[in-house]
Amino acid sequence: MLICLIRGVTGTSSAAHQQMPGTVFQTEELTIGSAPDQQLQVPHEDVEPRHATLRVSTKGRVLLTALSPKGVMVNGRRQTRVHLDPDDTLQLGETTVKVQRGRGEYACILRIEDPYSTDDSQPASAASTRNQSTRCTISFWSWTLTLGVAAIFLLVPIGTFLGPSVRKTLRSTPLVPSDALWSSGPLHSAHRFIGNDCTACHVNPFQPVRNVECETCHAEVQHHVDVRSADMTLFDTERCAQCHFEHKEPATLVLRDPRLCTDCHARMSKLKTNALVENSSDFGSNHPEFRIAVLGEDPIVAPGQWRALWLEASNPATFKETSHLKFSHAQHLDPKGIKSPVGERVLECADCHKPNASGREMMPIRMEIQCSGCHSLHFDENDPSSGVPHGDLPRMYRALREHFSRQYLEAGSPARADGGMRRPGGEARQMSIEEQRRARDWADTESLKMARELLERRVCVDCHDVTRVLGATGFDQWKVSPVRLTQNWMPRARFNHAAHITEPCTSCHNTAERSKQSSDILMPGIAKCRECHGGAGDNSKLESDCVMCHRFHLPNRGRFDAQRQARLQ
Amino acid sequence: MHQSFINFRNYRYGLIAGVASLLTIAAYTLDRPRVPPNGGTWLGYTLGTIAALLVIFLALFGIRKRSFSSNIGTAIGWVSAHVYLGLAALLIATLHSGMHFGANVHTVAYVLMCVVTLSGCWGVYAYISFPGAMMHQRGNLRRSEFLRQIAEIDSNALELAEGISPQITQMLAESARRTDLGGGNLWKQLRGRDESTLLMGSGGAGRSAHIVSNTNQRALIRTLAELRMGSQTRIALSSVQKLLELAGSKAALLQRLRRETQLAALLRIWLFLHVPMCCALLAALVIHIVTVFLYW
Repeated sequence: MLICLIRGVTGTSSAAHQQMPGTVFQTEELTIGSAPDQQLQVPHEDVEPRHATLRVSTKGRVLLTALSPKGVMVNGRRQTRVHLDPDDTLQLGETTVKVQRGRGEYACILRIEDPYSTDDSQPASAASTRNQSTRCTISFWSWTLTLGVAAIFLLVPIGTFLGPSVRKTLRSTPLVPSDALWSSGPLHSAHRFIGNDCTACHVNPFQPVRNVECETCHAEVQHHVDVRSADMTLFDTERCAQCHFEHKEPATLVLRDPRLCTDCHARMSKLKTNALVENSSDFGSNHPEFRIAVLGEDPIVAPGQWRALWLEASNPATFKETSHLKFSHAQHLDPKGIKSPVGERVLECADCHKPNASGREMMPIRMEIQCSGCHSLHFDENDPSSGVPHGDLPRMYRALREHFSRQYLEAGSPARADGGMRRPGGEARQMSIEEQRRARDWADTESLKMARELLERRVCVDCHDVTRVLGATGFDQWKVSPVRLTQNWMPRARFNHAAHITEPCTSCHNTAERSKQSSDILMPGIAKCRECHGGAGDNSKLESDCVMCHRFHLPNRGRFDAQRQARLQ
Repeated sequence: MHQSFINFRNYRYGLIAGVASLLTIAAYTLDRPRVPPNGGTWLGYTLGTIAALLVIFLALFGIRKRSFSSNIGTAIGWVSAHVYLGLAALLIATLHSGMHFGANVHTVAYVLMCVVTLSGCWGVYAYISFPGAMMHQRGNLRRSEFLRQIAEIDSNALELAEGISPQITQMLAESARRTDLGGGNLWKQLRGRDESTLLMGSGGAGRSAHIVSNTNQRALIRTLAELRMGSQTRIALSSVQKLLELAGSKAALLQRLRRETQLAALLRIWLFLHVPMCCALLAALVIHIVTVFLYW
């Protein structure tokens, strides 16, 4: 299909322009635009680089399709797609294009009339040297981005305040912005199950999270002081979130900054009169000597009841354990060995002191487990079954009586009239009442003798405090003081033996090998710990904060939110 | 010494920004907050407030630079303060964040601030180096004079061509019309490619015209050179020779104009990032502040 373009210039007398020959394009579709590669090129700022196309059908009909969103002016009217007839006029910028009826081999003839420019300084394409990003202006992008940010990060997420259904939809639909975009950091893994339910904790807008929200789950958390005491006023403004800080990295459940404790503990003497704990601000430089507590009896407060009693290290007379056990560590740890059923044996600490399953603490010492291997309770060398039970005097007496009664009955008893002999084949004779009484008396006498032997001379008395009860006779005359071995020497601190497993026991319990009395306190002092542990900011030692050894929430103090507790009651 | 926005009043704002940055770094280093460093400590709140006020001040520059009648400081002083305090603001905001980043509006605000500052750094570089390069390309000529010179060449060429043949006249007229002066949309200006074309074979009876690339007037020069080889008369030969010379000088002018246009575009392009991102930053900043306290 041939299309002929004839260019002319309106309002000019230049013969040269009028004589311009036509340009012929062999094409189905003529491209029109301001770009140089367009077949009909009209350089003007109102003309798009690709402005329109002109298609000529086999029947000679001419179809104009506008590519510019503004359309093309045809006969003074804006058109986007129109069939052109002869004598129709297109306006492209300042250029006029007239459609002429096709002649001969030309399917269509277009007469192009450029306005004659008197200003030679402005070539036709001069306008295009200016910035022409009219559609993507700075203000367009500014508004788009600003509104976009506002919509994504505020207007849509704030829908969570419209009601539970909207909130649920926003939070559960993927790729839809919700209030999770406001989270300043991840939750600790222990709280991850809360998911993106921000309002589970952030109940009141523009208010810090309250303790009440924490206690929804952590109802049983105990306080630092007795909630019934006046000390509670010191905690009026304390919030859970002061120590348990969320949405921060690295995520942690407990903040370890010593100041959270030392804000009060550095000036306990000012906060409280008769404070039980001394001032302390740093483990390395300002921490009181460890206080030892042993199991004991407070005869005034609770006679007969064992409880932890604090010892005064400054008073050597009372700084001892009263366990009622006779025990010498030095004797048992004798490097030459100690007698045992299998001969001389050299004992180590770990032969008796075994860690529990977690390895943190040592298991209690039990006679049956740690001692009985060497300390036999047999009293008759000729009878291997003659042992007495441990830990129960009445049972011991019964066992003795049973032993001697059986001995009487079985023969060989010097108390028996017939010498305990029975003729072979003879029938067992029934004992007379007299004989029974004699047998019981004999067994009782022997048992009492043996009990005295065990309780006063060997076996029991080796380890136990045995006292005589004034005025009592028979089996009631002895009293064995119950053994109370202190398990937790420093009840306010936590110590993990497993974490110190590389150290030998005597590294800390260094007086054990010389200790001859069970009353000796073998606990190390703070100086021993300070050999490795330093205070805050100590670069030469293990930096040790308060919560490495101490806890805030102490047992049996009452629930943390005492006010809520009072309300519930 | 010439006073630019860099050395304005003996680097006054550079010193202020430098001292502010050092103080901030010192405070951040010395501060030992009870929680890991973040925007919620007292230092965090302080740095955040300073950074937010700085961002508002920096954004006000956009208003100040448009109000030519304003007496609030000199324009160059504002640019100087804008550049130096902008750099300090990014540092303060970084320390305000405590290096905590995540998929949230707070980090979006920070990233936007980084984009704004980095694009601003490009702008500083462009403003320092491009105007000189543009002067070099233009050789002290105004752009309109450039265009007039090109137009003169075109009209001289047309006059010469009229003496040769209508076909040559038409080819030269089309060549002038289809000359790419380096304008167009921003992307085209930045790319700086000569997309001039030449309409070949127009006016030939029965022959279809076709469009070929005329980058650096190469197609035109080649066509004219071929024509010169075939020229019979002395007059025609000298005319074609003159046409060739004109095409050569036009190509040289066009190259300089294109490079100059490209530099002018580079001088503006960063603002397409700087200003819209700044507006988005202001929105994100407001949302950041509101939401931090909304879910306290």
